[in-house]
Order: sequence, then C-alpha cells, then structure tokens
Amino acid sequence: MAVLGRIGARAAWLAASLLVASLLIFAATNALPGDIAQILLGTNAAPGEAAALREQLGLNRPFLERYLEWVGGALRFDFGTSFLGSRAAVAPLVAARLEVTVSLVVLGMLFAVLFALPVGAYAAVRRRHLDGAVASALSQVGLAIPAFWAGIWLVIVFAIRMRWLPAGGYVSFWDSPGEWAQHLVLPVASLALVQASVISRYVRSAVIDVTHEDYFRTARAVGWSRSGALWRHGLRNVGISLLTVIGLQLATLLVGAIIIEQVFALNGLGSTLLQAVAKRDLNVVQAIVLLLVWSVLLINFLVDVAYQLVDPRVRRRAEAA
Amino acid sequence: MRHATLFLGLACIGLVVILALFGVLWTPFDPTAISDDLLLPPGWPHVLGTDGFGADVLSRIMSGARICLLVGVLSVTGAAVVGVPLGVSAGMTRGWVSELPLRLSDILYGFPALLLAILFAAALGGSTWTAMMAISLATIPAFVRIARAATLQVMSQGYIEAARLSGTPTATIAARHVLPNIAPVLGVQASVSFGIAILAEAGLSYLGLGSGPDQPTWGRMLREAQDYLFSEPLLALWPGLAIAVATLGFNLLGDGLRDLLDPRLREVT
Repeated sequence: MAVLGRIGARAAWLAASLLVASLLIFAATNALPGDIAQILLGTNAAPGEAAALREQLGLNRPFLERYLEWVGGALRFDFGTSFLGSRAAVAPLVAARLEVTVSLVVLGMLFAVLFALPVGAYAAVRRRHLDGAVASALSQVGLAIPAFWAGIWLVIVFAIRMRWLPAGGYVSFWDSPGEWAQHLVLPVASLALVQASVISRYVRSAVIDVTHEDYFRTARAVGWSRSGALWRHGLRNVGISLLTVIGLQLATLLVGAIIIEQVFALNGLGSTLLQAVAKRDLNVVQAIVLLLVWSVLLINFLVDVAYQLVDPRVRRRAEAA
Repeated sequence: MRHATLFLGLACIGLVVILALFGVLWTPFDPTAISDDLLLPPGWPHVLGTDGFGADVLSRIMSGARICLLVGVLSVTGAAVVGVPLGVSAGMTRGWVSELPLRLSDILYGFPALLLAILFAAALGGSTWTAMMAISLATIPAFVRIARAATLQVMSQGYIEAARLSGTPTATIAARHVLPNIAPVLGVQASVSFGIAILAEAGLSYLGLGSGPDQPTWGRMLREAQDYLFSEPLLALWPGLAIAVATLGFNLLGDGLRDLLDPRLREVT
C-alpha cells in the first residue's frame, strides 16, 4: 500500500512538472523580445500589416489567456494551426513525422543496451587485465565522439565507399519493412554506438559493485563460479542501474536523433522542428518541443515507478522513513 | 602511471588551448577568407588543405578552438554561479523553500540544451549568445544536484556542528566551511560539464543554431564538409577530431580529478 501512496505522490509531482515545463516553453517563445508578426512579414512590411497579422494570429490577447488555450489544446493533442502558408493544423503534421523519430530513438536505445551489456560486464570482470582496460578506454573515446560525426563517417565508409547501405532517406515500416530496416541501419548505429559507450560505463560500475558485495563473496565461497554468481546476483543489480541510465539518457538520445536526422536526410520531428525554427513558425516549434519534453518527463516518471517496484531496497528504505 | 588519466586529459586540453591562444595572435591564413584555391588536399602552404570556399582548414580549426573554449568557459561558469548557491542553500536548510530549486532543476533536466537553443533561436534568431545561454541553462541542474549532495555530506561533519554551536552565522559557515570542502567535487563536475558543453555547441553549430557564418566553428565546418563527402572525406575528419580531442580532454580531466579525490568523495559523485 505504501508503494501505491508514493506512486501517487510521484504522479502528482509529474502533473506539476508537465505544467511548469509547458509554461516555460510557452514563455520562452512568447515572452522573449521580438515581434513575431513583424519578423514573419519581413522588414519592408507596412506597420498596419503587422498589427493586422497580430490580430489574426491572436498574438495581442493577454499572455495567460493564450497560454491556457494552448496548453488546454495540447492535452487534447490540438496544437492550433501553423503561422505560415495555408495555416495547416499542426497536430497531423507532427503525427506524420513521429514514426521516424520514434523508430530512431527506440531502436537506438535498444541496440545501445544490447551492445553495452556484454561490453560493460566484460570490462568489469577483466578490469585488471589489458583487454578489460582497453574496453573501458574505448568507451571513454566513444563518450567524446558526437553521434553526428560518427554518422558522417558511417556514410563515408558503408554508403559511399562500400555501397552496402543507403546514405540517407526513410521508407515507412508499413510500406516495406525490409527497406525500412536498411535505411535505419546507419542512423541507428551512429546513435547506438555513442549511447552504448555511456551505458557500458554504468554497467561496468554496477557489475564491479556486485563483486564487492558480501552475498557475491558468499556465493563464490560456497562454490558458485564467477559467471554463475554474476548471472544469479548481478543481473538484478545491473537491471536497476540500466533503468536509471535509460531515464537519464533518454533526453540525450532524443537530441541525438534530431541531429542525426540532418545527417541522413530523414524527415522526422527534428527536421520539421528546424524548418519551423528557420521560418519562425512558433506554433510548430512549441508543439514539437512540448511533445519531446513531456515524453522525457513522462518516461522518467515511469522509470521511477519501475524503480520502486523492482528494487526492494528502495522500497524498504522508503517504508522505514 | 597512477595519474595517467589526469595527464592525458591535461595534454588534450593543452593542445586545444594552445590552438585557441595561438589563433588569437596568428593563423596561417584568414579563417574566413574566400579564395580560388578550392578543396586543396593537405600540403603546403595549406597544411590541412582548403575547404569548398577556398578557406584554409587549419586556420578555421584554430579559430573554432577559440569559440569552443569561449562557449565552454562562459556557459559552465554561468551555470555554476547560479547552480552552486542554490544547491548549497538547499543542502544547508530544510523545508519546502530549499526543496524548490531542486524541484525546478529536476524539470529543467527534461530540457536538453538543444531544445532550449531551438526555443531561443525561434524567438530571437540563433547566435553564439543564444547557444551559450541555452547550454548554460541546461547545465544548471547538474550543479544544483551535485552541490546539494556534497553539502549534505559536509553538513554531517563535526566541525559544522562546532561552528553552529559557537554561533557562526549560516552565511559564514557556507563560505568558510562548506564551499572550500565541496570545491573539489564542483571542480570534477565543471570538467565533466565542460565536455558536455563542447558536444552541445558542436551539435548546435552543426544545425546552424549557433554562431554566424563569419565565425568558423567545428560544428559548422562538419556541416559544410558534408557537401563533399564523395570527393573530400578528409574535410569531415579534422573538425570532428578536434571536437573529440577537446571533449576527451575534459572527460579525462574530470575522471582523473575524481580518482585523485577518491575514495572519500566516491559516494557523492
């Protein structure tokens, strides 16, 4: 029961953070100096025109009123209309681009974890040997490499030189799963390689922590092999630290995906966002940033809840307090 | 051998600092000059060759080092100046007032520098300053958290109790006892944050959200190199290498400092 209570408190805090985050986003784009109507029209527009456009876009209504309308709409996945061209609704535009970004982020995280687990565990077990040290040194180097630079070199090697894979573009999963996979190999690899460096360091220290525990020493003393004891006792510990790092790294991965879209000419949320920034299409910018920040906060909430459920130590400590 | 990490880190940083300082006084060519010598391979007098506009690559790398360090120093300093007092006061006091900055920084944690920079660029137009502001804001939460955690640990020490009992004002305790004792942890965090700031700046200028065309940055150079991947892949090598060396330097420095402070501070960082 106590667990339920804490999850409830955490959920209330989540609601508050979602609200504050939305206020920050709206304030950043609306309260900063600069007359957006004037910018949209260009410098040689008559003063009357700007006033008319402000009126039309509803920019001259009070800040709070506009904010409440915007955030109320966002909760129903209604982000108003674009400032430009035919004033298309923002929500369908965003939904259409979601597939690319979600594919990148989910696959990027999945392969990063699959790669980091064995590498991190190996680096931990063999840490007093040369090969273990090399594994952790490599992760240190991976940490310093921007994912987009890795992407550029993957293109040079695998697309341009060897011609194994396409250098860019995206095919929807629903059109052709094979082509979809082919087009995603390089972008996902560039994200996953860099992410894996970060995650493998967490895995390494989690495994080292386990080997220092009394229960691990006891297991070894009663005859368990090292790998056997690690499987039996280490996995749970590593799982918990994986949960933490996935929550922490999610925002980084989203950002990485936005940049990677530019390297591989993928038409996802990132490129839509950047085009909107260049054209000062504030409604689109706000919608996408809100969506990204809200998903980070939401997933961190889920990680916290999972943490409560998985780790008996967290549970007991909280119950004792 | 014991401090190999530290020295390797310092060597990498030293290289970047030398490039930057040297670049202030002299570069082989004007880093923004456009010439007819397009896409020359590495050689003489253009040691690393020239880019698609005929500008000297080495000069642009040197000029980029300056911006990279400038953005790093200013954004990390800004974040520390705001974050450390918040974290220390949160660690020294109880109640919801001290919880508030912590909670706010948790929310700010959901805003990566890139998204902040995009918001600022949408409202104000992108520049070195909006990029720096965004990176700085995004770095604040790390300082709040680390300063609070370290302060909590210091607060349980006997000398704090003694100072309190002898009637020392809280502000004096913070300045005389807490800050000097958490300074090493903050140094480690500053170094790590510096590395993150370099990567963030590179990403932003790659996307064209950072410095203008008149200021060559490593990220912008990579963006420009992408037009010549088929014929001149080397153009995509140097700026990325520079980013990696600079980031690696600060990451290693951070790790080296942490090892130096170990084991007392291991739980904190």
